[in-house]
Amino acid sequence: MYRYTEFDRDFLRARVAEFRDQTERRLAGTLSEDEYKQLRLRNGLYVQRHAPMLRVAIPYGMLAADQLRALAHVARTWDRGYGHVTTRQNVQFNWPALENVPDILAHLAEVDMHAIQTSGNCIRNTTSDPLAGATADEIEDPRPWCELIRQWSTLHPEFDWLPRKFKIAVTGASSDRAAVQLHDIGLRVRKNAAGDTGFEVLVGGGMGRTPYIGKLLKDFLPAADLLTYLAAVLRVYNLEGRRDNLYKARIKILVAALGIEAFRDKVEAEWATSRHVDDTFAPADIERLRRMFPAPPTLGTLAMAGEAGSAAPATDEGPIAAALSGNPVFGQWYRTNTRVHRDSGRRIVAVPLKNAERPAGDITSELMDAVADIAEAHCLGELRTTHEQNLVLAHVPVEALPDVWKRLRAIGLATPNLGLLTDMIVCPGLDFCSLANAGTLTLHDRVQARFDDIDYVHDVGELAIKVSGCMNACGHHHVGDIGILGVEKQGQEWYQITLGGHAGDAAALGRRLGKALPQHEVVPAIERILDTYLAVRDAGESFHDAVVRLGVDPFKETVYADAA
Amino acid sequence: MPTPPEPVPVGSVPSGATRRHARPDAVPSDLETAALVPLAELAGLAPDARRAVRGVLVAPADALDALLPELDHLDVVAVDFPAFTDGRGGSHARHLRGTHGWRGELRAVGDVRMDLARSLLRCGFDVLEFAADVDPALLARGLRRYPGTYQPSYAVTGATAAASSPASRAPPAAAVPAPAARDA
Repeated sequence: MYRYTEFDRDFLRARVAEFRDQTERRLAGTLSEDEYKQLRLRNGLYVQRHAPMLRVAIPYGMLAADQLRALAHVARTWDRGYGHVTTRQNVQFNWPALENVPDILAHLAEVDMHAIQTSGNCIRNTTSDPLAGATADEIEDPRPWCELIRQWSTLHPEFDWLPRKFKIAVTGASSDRAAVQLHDIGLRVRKNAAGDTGFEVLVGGGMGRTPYIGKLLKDFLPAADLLTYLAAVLRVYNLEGRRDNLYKARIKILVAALGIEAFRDKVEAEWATSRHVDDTFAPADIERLRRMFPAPPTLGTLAMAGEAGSAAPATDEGPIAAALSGNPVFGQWYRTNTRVHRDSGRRIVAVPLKNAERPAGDITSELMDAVADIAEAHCLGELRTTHEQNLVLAHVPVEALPDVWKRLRAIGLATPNLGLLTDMIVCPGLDFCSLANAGTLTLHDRVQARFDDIDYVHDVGELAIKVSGCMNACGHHHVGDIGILGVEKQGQEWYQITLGGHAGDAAALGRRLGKALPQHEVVPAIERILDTYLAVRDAGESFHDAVVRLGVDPFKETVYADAA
Repeated sequence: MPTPPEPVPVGSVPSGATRRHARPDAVPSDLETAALVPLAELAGLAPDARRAVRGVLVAPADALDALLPELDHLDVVAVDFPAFTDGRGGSHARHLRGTHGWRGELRAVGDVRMDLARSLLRCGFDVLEFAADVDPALLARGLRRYPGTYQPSYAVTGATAAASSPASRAPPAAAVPAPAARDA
C-alpha cells in the first residue's frame, strides 16, 4: 500500500483545518451557501434526501485494516453504525451531521484518509482493478500509476473547476476489471514490442443519461508522457466542454460532438506545445511508488506476470483437500467466492456485501471490524473495495481458507453468490437520494427474497443484475446482463428493463426490452427472463452469451406475453 | 509530485478590508480593469490603435490566437471569471504563462472569491480583484495554510507591467518545471 510521507500528512491536516474554517464561516453566516456548497462537495459532502452524505475516498480501492477500523469508528460515533461501498470503490456515510464533518475528516486524516474531490466538478477518485497485484493476467501493477495520477490531480489548480465531474480508471491486466471503457478517461497498461511500458488511452466513456463506450484516443502513450498527456486532454475539455447545460457537460458529449478524430487533433495540438512545460514526473518518482506495492511473499509457484498465454498455476489445494471434500458448504464457497491467484499458494477471496440482511454494498461497523481482523490475520493487513460494491481479500494463503471461511460465515458474509443473480449492483435510490425516481432498495429486497434458493442461483450461473434509481445510472444498469432503471411516470414508480449490457472487455450497452413495468411486475419479469434462459441455453452457456447469440427478442416475448 | 515545504510569500497584510490582492513580488500596472479592451474587439481596431493598446480583457470562451501577436506591447492581460465555478480562466492563464511564456501582469477579475485565491495564484495570476470585500487576515491565513503542493506553480516571479522588455519575449525554457518549484 502507498505509505504517506510527512508531507502527505501535513497536507491532509491543512486540508482538514481549511474545511473546518470554511464550515465555521458557513455556520456563522460569513460564507455564502453557493460558495460553501462547492467547497464542501470537494470535501465529499453532499446534501441529500435526509441528511448530508459524506463520501470518503478509497484511492483505487486499496484499504488497510486500520483504515477499515477507522471507517467503523466513524460509522459508530457519527453515523448510524454502517457505511456503503460505492460503484467507484469509495465508502459513503449517509447520516453525518454537518457540524461533525470536520471532526470526522480529522479522525480519518489520522489514518491517511480523506474525502478530497470525491464530489464536485473536478477530477474524482481514480479507480482500478480490485485484483491488482494478484492475477496472472496482469501486465503491470496499475496501482503505482493510480497513485501518481492521484497526487497529480489533488488540488490541481487548473482542473478543479471543470464543466463537470471527471472520472479516470486504470487497468493493468489483459482482462479489464475496472470498466475502463466506461470512464471519462480509461487507461490500459501496455507494453510495446521493445518491452517499454505505456498506456492505451480511451476517452469519452460513461453511463448516465447518455451512455457511451469510450473511444480510442491513443494506441500507445509512452509511460513518461502520462501526466502531460492527461493535462492536454483535461485542458481541451476544460476550455471546450459545455458549461451551458448540465446534462451535456461531460467529456463524452464533447467527443461525440467533435468526433474522435477532431478531438484527438485538438489534444495532440495542445500537447505539442504544453508537454514541455506541464507538470511531469521523473523515473525515480514512479520507482518510489512501485516499491510501495511489493508482491507478497511467494508461498507456492508463481505465474510470470503477463507472459503470453500464461495461465496461473492451479491453486495448490493439497493443504485443504480434506476440508474441500469433507465440507460441501465450504466447497461451494471456495468455488463461487474465491478466484485463482498468480501464486499457487494463495487464493483471492471475495466478500460480497449482497444478502437479504441489508442494502447492497452496506456493511455495519461490527462487520467492518471483523473483516479488518480477518485481513490482519490472513491478508497482510489489506483489502480492496470493488466497483460492484463488494470487498476483496486478495492474498489469502490456501491453508488459511478454512479459517477465513469460518470467520466470514460467523458474521454472515460467506453467502456463495459472487457474480451470481443475487450479487447485484444497486444504487441507494429513493430511500437516500434526492435524484431518485424509484425505491431500488425495496426492489433489491424483493429479488433477494424471491431468489433465496441458492441451488437455483447457482443453476442460473453468472449473471449481473444492475439497478439504477434514475437516469444518472449510478447503479450501472446500462452494463448489466439485466439492467433495471427506475423511471417516474405520472407520479408513480416504473421500471425499464434492458438486456445484454456488459462492463468488461466486450463492453456493451444494454438494449431496452419493452415498456416500463410497475414495481410488483419486475421480479416476475426477471423470473420469466431467467426461465427463458434456462430453457434455451446451450450446455455451459452463460446468460451473457445466450443474449449475444439470441438477441433480446426471445426474452421480450416471454416478459410481455400477457400483453399480446 | 509533492513540493517541499516552503513558506508562502504573502506580503504585508493591510489593515482594512480589501478588494485586491497582488503577489508581493509583482509590480502591478495602474491600468483600470474598466479601461481594458475586450479581446473580441481587438481584431476590429486599426493596426495603429491595436499596437497602442496596453491592456486586454479575455473572456472565458475566447481563443487566445488574436492576443498572441499583441503580447509584446501589453502591460496587462485580465481574464474574466463570470462565475467562480467557471474554470476556463485557469487554462488561459496556464497558456499565457506556460506555453507562451508571457511575463506581464496577469489579472483575475469577475466573480473572484477569496477561497479560490490560492489556486488562481498557482495558475499564474498575480493580481486578483475580488468580487466582494475580503478580510485580509483570513486571506493571508488561507494562502499560508498548506505546506506545499502536488503540482508546481505557473506563477512567474517578478511579473512586471514593463512587459515590453526583450526578456518577456523569450520563449520558456524547454525543461519541465523542477519538482522543487515553489508554491505561489
